[in-house]
Amino acid sequence: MHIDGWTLLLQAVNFLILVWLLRRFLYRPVLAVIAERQAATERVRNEAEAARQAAETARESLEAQRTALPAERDRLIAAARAEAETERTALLDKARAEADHALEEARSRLVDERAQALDALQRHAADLGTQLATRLLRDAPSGALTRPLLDEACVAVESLSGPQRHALADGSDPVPVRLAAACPLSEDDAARARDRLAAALGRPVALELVEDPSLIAGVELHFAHSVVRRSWKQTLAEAKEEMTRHDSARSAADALA
Amino acid sequence: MTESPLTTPVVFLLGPVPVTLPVVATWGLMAVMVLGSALATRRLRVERPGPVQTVLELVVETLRRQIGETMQTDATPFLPLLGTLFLYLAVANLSGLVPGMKAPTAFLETAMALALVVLLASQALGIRRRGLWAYLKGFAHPTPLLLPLNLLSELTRAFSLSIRLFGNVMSGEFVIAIVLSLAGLFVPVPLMALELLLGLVQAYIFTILAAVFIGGAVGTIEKG
Repeated sequence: MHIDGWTLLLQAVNFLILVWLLRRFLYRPVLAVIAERQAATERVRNEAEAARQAAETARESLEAQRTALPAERDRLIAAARAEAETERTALLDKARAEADHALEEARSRLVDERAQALDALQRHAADLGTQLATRLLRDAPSGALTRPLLDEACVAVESLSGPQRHALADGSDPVPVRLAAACPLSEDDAARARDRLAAALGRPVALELVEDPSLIAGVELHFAHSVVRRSWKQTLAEAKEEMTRHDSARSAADALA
Repeated sequence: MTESPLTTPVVFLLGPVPVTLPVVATWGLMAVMVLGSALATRRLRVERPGPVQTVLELVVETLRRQIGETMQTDATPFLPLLGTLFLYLAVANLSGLVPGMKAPTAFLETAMALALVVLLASQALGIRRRGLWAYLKGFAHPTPLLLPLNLLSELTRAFSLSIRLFGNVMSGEFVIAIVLSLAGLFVPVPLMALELLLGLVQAYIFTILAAVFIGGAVGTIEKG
């Protein structure tokens, strides 16, 4: 058996050359086209996968929206009901407040009108009472009634303090005093009154006598700046004033109660 | 009676170099394979490949997958060497069935040349992948006492590769030739069909064993 070294070497070289040639003309182009196709397939697969993912995401989104619809509807209905309830309560409160306010105003107006009516009625009653008393007293013997009142007027002047009496005199000498009486006074009564006034004021008095039937009974001493009244007219006026004031106060208290 | 299967006929002399029959046959097969590949890969298309392109892609992809499964790694860097080994062996083994032709692999020099290429390639790839020192240390694994045996096994594996291929192909052709000379024209047809299968099986075995040796050398699989 003989092994040819040249053949062995040439066959090895031939094989290596064949490896290089097939690599150049077979493997490289075929592997390149396979890789290109695989890349294209992978690209298409990725696109399909992306499309599938997008579809899945859209489906999940739709499913979530579909699931959330009843809850959203209930929430909207509940919100609308709550809003309507709030608005109804507000309207009711406002109407109630307006009604209370109107009622309060009506009550207040009624009380005012009632007080005014009562006041007018009382004034009218007082006027009637005063007129009635005036008419009754006018027929009374005013001379007998005037004299004591003249004494009271003189007493009132005499009971004043020194400075007050000095103020009444106003520095005049004689002091002018106008004596208004409900009925004509006698000379004695006039002289006595002049004397008492002169004694009280500490200087002579020029007394002017005037008759004033409206006084009903009694007198009025008119000094320069002051008047001393002791007459039934004054008494009736004070009584009327006091009665009217008392009635008004009682009416206001009744209204407040 | 046919001539001895152990002799290598010289076709012509190229100066001092005798060009033998397997070398000439190999050149012919190389021309056919390279021209065929160049023609078949001229118009490769990504979309709608033709029948020839489909077959080419099927062959290349099958080779890559088989080599990858054997080496348990990406087979693309090893595909030119091992794929060419399988294609050449298959074509060369089957060429013996063509009347008037003799398979180059039926000569011991061709088988030994291929085994030598595998041996050298496994050493070179192992050194390049793992480094010289790490690769050499692998021969002393699991114990330095086994270093001579490991070295010897490298040689015997290559030797067994070549002898297996040579013996199978040569014996098949020799038996067919004997039967043909004794029995007549159509009697060896079943044997030729068997030789067809045998040639492909031998190409597969040689390629797979080469892949195993190279995988063991580069460390992707356990060294056998």
